[in-house]
Amino acid sequence: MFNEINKNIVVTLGINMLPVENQKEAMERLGAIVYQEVMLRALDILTEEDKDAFEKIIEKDSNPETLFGFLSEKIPNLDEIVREEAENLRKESSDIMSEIGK
Amino acid sequence: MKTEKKSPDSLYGEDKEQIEYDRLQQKKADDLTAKIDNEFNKRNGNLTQKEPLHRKKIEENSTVDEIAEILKNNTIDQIVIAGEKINLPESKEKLQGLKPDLDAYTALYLLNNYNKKSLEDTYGKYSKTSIVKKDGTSEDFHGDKNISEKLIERDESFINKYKNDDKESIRVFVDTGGEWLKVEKEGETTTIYIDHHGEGKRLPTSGTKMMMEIMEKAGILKEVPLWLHKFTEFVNDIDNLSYLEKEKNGKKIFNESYFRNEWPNSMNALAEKQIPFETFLELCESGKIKDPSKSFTEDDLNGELGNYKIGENTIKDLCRIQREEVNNTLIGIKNSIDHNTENGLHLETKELGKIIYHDYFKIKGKSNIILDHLAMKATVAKGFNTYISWNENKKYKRFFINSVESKSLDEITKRLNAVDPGCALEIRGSFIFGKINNLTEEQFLNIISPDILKNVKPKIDKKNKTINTSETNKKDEKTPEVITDGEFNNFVDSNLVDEKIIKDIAEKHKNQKPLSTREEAIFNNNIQKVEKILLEKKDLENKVVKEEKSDTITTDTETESVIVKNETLEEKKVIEKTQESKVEKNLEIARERYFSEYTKCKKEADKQNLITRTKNKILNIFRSKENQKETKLEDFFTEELNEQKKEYDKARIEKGNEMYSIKKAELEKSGLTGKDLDTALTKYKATEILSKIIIEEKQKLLDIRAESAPVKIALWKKMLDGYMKIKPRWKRVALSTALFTAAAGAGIVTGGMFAGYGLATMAGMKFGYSMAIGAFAGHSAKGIDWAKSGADERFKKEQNENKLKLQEQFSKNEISIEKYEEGIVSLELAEKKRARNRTLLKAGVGIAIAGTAGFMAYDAMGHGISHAAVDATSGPAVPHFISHGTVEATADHGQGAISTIKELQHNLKVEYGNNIENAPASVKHILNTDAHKLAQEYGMYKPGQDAESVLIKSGEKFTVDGNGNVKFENTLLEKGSDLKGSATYEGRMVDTDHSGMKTGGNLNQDTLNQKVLPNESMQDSLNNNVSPSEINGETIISGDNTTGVNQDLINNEVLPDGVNQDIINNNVSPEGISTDPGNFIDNVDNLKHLDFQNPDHVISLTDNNASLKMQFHYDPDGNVDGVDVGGNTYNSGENPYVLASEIQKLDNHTQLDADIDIFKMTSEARFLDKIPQDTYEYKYLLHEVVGKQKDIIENYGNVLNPDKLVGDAAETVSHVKNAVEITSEQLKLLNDENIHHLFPGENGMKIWENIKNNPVRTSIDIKVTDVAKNYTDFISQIHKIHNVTGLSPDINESNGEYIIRATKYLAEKGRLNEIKL
Repeated sequence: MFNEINKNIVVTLGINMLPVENQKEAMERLGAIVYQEVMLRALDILTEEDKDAFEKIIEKDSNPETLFGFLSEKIPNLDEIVREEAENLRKESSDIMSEIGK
Repeated sequence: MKTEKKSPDSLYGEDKEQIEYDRLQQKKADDLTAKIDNEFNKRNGNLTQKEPLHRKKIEENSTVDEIAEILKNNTIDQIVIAGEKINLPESKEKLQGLKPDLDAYTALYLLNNYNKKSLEDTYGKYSKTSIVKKDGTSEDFHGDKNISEKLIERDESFINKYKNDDKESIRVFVDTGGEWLKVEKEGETTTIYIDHHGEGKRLPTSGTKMMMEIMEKAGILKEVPLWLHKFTEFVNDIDNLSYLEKEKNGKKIFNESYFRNEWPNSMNALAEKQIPFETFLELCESGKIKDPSKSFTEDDLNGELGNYKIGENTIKDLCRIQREEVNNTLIGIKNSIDHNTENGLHLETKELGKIIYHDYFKIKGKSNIILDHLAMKATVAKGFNTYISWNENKKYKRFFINSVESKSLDEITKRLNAVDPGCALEIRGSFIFGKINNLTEEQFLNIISPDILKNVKPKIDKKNKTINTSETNKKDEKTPEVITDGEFNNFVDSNLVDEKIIKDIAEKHKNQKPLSTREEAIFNNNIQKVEKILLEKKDLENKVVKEEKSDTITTDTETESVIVKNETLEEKKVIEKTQESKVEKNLEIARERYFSEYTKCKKEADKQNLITRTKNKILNIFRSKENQKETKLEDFFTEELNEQKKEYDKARIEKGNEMYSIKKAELEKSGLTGKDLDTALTKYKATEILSKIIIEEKQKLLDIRAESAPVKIALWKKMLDGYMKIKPRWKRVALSTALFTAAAGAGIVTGGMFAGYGLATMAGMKFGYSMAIGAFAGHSAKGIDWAKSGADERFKKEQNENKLKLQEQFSKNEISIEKYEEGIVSLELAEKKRARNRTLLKAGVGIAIAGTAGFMAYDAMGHGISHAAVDATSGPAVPHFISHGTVEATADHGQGAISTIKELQHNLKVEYGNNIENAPASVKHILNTDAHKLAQEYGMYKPGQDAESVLIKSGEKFTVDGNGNVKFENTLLEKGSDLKGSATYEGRMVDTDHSGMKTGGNLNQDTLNQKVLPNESMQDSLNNNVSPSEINGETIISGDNTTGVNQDLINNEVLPDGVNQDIINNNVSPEGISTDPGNFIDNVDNLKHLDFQNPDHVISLTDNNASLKMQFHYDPDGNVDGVDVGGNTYNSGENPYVLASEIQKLDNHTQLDADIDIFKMTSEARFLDKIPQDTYEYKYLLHEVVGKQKDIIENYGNVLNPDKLVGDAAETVSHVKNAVEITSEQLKLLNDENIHHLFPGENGMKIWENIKNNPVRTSIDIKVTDVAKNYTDFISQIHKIHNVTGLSPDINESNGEYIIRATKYLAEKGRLNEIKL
């Protein structure tokens, strides 16, 4: 659920002050970080067999849609992992950025 | 040897002037070769050779300044550059010539194109160019005028020069001449050496770098663009092979895996393929190659870059060729290692470290081949230090030593020349070129180190150089290769190899059988996978530990030394300019330490995981699952890591503040103050600082982690590319936004998000409509109970859709990010509120409607009662006949005793499902007894008394354990199967009957409006959503004869009026129910147009020839607060019994419910044929349709012919028709039969009991051959079940549970015979 960090994250990071194009760029980059974190965690969870299958899928089609599709089938709590990784990044960003320029 | 020159016309077809020019070029080159040969001899003390004719040393210590001054103020008359041997492009006779090497080319490119002086001012009127081989030892020489023309755009001058004048004044050697920076004067001629191939070791530099420095000193260097800076760095790396030494996190990047997989797809590799200089420049200048130091990605190779043609080949072709050459070279290196080991050569010396020695021995009649240009790279890649070749072939008679351990090369050169004067020439402190004159191989090796041959008897001779082919063949016969030619070629081409081959190779290795060179290549390329396989062996565990130990953290000193080592003039300049702050350095150190510690912890966790899994596999297959816990990374986080993380964060903050302060000062200086200053700083913080301190730092850690990720790094990159290339961009932004803000909510990323963006694209559906499918897909993936009420689905769908709309709007610039977040927060709040309301509502009206009311009504009102619980993976709930856990019902949202008992009944029903017949007597009793009556039995409800109801505190609960013991808090009410009536609870009783109403029917506002009640009791009353009847029910209702409600209906024991039991049981068409397909289709068609999200939508249904309208009212939070039925309006604040009764009056409501569910199912099924069958979406959807249909059959007594249910999708889901109902008893029987087959004999069942609860994952992973005989049939059967069903084991799922789930799954698909024994 959206907590205080969530509510204030764009303000804490100052993203709301940016032109829309910059906002989107920031979101793209932050989203890409979460994406990678999720993928790494997911890889740790997959069985060897599933990892092999996953590799084959990446070779064939590296579209996130396909990859998430596969992972969500194999990892029941994938959404929770997404949520946690997003939360981790938001918290870390918030903790550090709020200490800058005080 | 000089190449015999044929008729020049036949080579170039040029005119006489050109022929003359070529001749003179040849002559000059001969002169230069002679000069260098003389120099060669002179340096090596061969006094019998002639003294050099033209050389008189004038100045020993020339400087860059001096050269700069000369070039600044004079014109150049002759350029002498280094060249490499090539096949002349126009030569049919395959004549060889010289082409300037990349370094020389680039140096001259700078001189000609980035020179503030014009060409006329740079070169003399009759200037010329000459090309010689850089080591000066080659006699093969041929001028290539085409290249010269391109280099020096003064070809006319060359020709004129030889026609008119031979006088030279300034001559510049670039990248050749065998001298470091130097100026020599002899008469009128000044010779400048800009070469980095002089004697002794110096910092890695290049002719290009030197030229750049000189031009800069001379003040004649134009501004050099970034791409050219990168290009010069690349040239420097190539020329010095310094990329072999580069490190990342204390580890050399260039290892065998990198050499085999990454290097062939790089500019470094292309540079070996005689690519025209102009092509390199064009690729870099145009941005097709952004960073020449990085390998090409798969996308690069499959895209514009890969298809870029160079001659007849594309870049992709060249990379493939290079990959083949690398593989062949590595094979040659391995042959040498094996051969020398067999011969007993000790090839590790103090001076040269580990040596690859190549003496062109014969293998099966042919010389072992190590390609010259790849030899040193392969040596380094294999982890060796020195490459030595000895070629006695008459045609060559050469030896060569190249070493990264360069300190001793000078000494070795001296020793060699002492024995055979003039035989060796040391170049650049990195290699020794040698001629085989009088030396024997034995002498040669003994000079290098007497230790090399100390164990060799007899001494090396030609005989020993031939591997006994018959022996080799024998070896091959004993251990046939596990790979075919075709498979190996495929491996070379694509780097892919079948998993089985890797396993077979690992097995050979494990059994200490020798690997063939091809197997070795695959082994090395898949070392991670092989290691995992081999971890089953204890010695390999030790190997892991050993590797761990060698994983040392790079010290500051080491880091510095690397920096110094690689520091070039350009780097120095950059460093001087940027003056790295102390803060930056602190950050680097903190990062390095944190990353190192993190990596250690991660490795430890990975290792432990592997070991645990392996041990489980090998030793403890039957270990109980409690001991099979998966290790978590966090468990391996050390105190040290936490400390390092703190330091790292601190350093980041410090760096951020430094950036902030500098920017602030800068802005203030520019006159910015107050709010403007704050705004500017905030923006700076949100861009530059966020980028540097958060994003880039996170990416660095991710890069390191990705290196050890269990996927190939190339695939990891491809995965990221896949993300970064989502198009159109707004979709990428939307996904990123969803990921970062986690606004997605449950299921949206894995289901809704991609349903919205992916399925919409695939099926060409409208964005919003596809969401419905997406939500289902998401549920499937998460294992959400399918049978949750439709209201939940609609609400979630609406929520998801709204969130996606917000993301889309933000991504398309339609709203600001603040609006986006506001919207998300608002939606989340609505979700919370709904959850709360639903919980309260459930307590009030749930049971009343459950048995009788139309699906749609309770559905839309957010009712919590579900159909039989359906697991997303296995379908409808699987009865747990083995054991049941504790079931609870907690009064944590305001219920009283009766409501809590009802909740307990519901929870028990879910837990025991269809297995009630096996439930303990107490559970049966609870399920078969009215809650009011139970409350009386338990002494919690005493109708007729003043204090009729027990006081229940919030959080108090009923529990029923697996044995059926029923407790309220600590009071035992019923004891499992030993039911002897019920004990009573001695709690405080209160009078809650404030209304005086003894029967329900009308709303009692007094009760509803009652504001002050004890916190801990009867909280139902506080909720306006509950009925007074139900409120009163806590105190006075006996459970029978309440207005409009038949308790039997509530308990589902009888059917409501208008429903004929035969219809349900016998699948017959009752009178009054329309079975006319047309009528059915009309209803479904109406339902298809139902807009669940439109509060104003009126639902029109034809039901039993009556026209009915139903319209719901919604509150601002999206909850239903009323309904119009048959022209009457009911608000949720009014008695829901009335509402329920009205809904009951809808004849044939079972048909109606079925219609609605059918509509939902067919809506999903319709899309099946629009989705490609090999996609996951298809699988999800198919599963949901199947599950839904099953649900319908179960809930509506198969009232309809299943053939009609699926409509258009009938064919697609036709196998559903084969589905069979399987009762828990049948299931048990089937499994018992199977188990008896698997574990025959008297002790069979005991064995089964021992392993029944062990994790099935282990059983699936282990090989049949690795288990004891008693278990082989069982393991085979598990493997079979796994293969047939494709079901992955859940975490901690036991053998028994998995078998049941799989059996149930196959039963649904009519495929039970596939596993029956």
